[in-house]
Amino acid sequence: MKNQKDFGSGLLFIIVGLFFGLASLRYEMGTLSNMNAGYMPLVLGIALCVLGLFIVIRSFHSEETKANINWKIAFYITGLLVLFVVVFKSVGGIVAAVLLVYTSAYIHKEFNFKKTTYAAIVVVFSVLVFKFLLGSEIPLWIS
Amino acid sequence: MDILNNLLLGFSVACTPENLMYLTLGCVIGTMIGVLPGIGPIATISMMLPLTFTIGPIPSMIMLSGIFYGAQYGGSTTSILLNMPGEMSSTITTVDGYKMTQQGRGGIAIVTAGVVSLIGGIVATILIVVASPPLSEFAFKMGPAEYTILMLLGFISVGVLTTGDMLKGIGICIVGILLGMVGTDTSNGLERFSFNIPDLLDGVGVANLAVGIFGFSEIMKNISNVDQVKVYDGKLSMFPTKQDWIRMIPAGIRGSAIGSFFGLVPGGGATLASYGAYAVEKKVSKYKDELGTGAIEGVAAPEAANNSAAQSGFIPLLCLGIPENAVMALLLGAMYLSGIQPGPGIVTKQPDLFWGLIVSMLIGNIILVILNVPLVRIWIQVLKVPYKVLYPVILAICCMGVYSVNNNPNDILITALFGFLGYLFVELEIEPAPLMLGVILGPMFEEYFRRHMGLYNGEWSSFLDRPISVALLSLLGMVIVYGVYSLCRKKK
Repeated sequence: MKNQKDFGSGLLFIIVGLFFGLASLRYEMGTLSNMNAGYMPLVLGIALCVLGLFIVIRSFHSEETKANINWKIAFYITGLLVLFVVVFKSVGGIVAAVLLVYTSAYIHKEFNFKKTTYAAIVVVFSVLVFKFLLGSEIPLWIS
Repeated sequence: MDILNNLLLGFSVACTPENLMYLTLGCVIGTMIGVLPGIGPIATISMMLPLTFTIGPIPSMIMLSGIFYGAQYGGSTTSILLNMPGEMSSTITTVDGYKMTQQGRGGIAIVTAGVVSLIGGIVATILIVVASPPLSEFAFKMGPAEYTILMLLGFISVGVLTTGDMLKGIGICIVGILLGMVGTDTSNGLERFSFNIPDLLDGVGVANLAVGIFGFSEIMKNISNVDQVKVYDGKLSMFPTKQDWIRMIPAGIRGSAIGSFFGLVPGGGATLASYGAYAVEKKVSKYKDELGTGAIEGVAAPEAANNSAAQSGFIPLLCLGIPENAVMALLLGAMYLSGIQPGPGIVTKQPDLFWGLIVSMLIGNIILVILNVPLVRIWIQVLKVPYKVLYPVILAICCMGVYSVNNNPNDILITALFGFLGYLFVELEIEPAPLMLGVILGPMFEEYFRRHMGLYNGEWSSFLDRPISVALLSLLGMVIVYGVYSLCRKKK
């Protein structure tokens, strides 16, 4: 009898709380009247862990709910964005953008090359707008 | 008469050709992104922040505000015609709005939304005009103690009032506060949580957060869903009947009053306002039994509310320097970038900015009504673009936008991370909005809390020494009680 969504949420909170709480131990705490860098994050980290724990426990007593996380898509898109940055820095903005358009469109059930090309054209146009109209310093082509 | 003079000053600022152009541009962009799924005012305003450098403080504030309330207008169009809210604040409009479309009265619903939003804007403007100068003076009396409690009120309110699970709402708010601590500490220049990554020295970046959590995550969620948007192809009659007019005006005024209130409350905002207004209509309206079957009140009340909430949210922003929600926080950032210091005294120190902005909001509302009504058919064409073509474009443009904020490609990596996390939030049913509030108000909260404790030597009772502080604490108490009460009620 597990509420997966709540379980996941609570778990997420515990992880984040632990992360910041432990990280804050590297800094000076100070006192309540003279708080230093680590004070607030530690307090909040602990609070978050406690809250997360409570939510996890509560999830065992709730109605059965499944969480529909599509890990494949999540990792795929995130990976594409990382690829974008790599290509952007090495080859330039236009290639990176076009590559992003095709690869991200590809995963859709009804991928259509021709229609995606329209999208790519719109994107190239907007890259130019960003560069020349809005003053962004996008490297168009790195030789 | 002071108010008259101020308004005249406002008109003289707002009606310069340059400012009018930026206002119109903002309204058009705002409406467009309101109509488009997956990209909202937060992401767009973030991407346009760098522009504030080039065009100057007053025009950029006018334009960015235009984008904001323009998006409210645009969001209603898709809610009504496609049963799909373009903006969260138009979610409840889908109920009666779409029914009206199915009855062939979709065009009337859109006109209604436009007209009542104008009413909402006017009511909010009156409130701003009347309340801001005294509030601005009152704000001088607020010290670190009051600000601390006010922000705490915001954090708790957003968790309690949020549409989802209360505990998760507070939890994600705390996550936001912790994220806000990444970077260089404001008071003693100490770096925290940057782990030797230079890109994190200035914090995670509000734009990165916004685009990642609201933009990329939504795209990840939607890719797997099948395209099932049926665009209404029938006749769109645009002229409300006399009966329609008679019914929409009272509902609009009620909605505006509620909206103006919700705009002021920390953690409140347009979405909450629209729900609140609908709930009130259900109790108060003569035609309450028709709600849910295509009653015009079901469109008029929430739409008036969301627009007036959007605009009254400017009051705490300008007079106290405290943003009530994520969009306001971005506008605050834009003001800092332009060297404007909102807060007590802004009405007297920068009257041309203040009154110019107020008047431009009024003019903006009128422009939006004029824009939206005839342009509805064009927006429908835009919506006919299949999502599988749209989202790669949005993805690429967002990447360019994020890059442009700091000309740093690594920002996109941060955004991608938050996109991933944001997707998890969506699937785990965690409302992301409190996170943004936490990120923005968190550092301020810590600063004021520290300062207060420093002044009063760590004495907790010092919060009860000052009258305003006590008043705010009681308000906080009421919110907490309400929160606990609803938690218990839900369990039963």
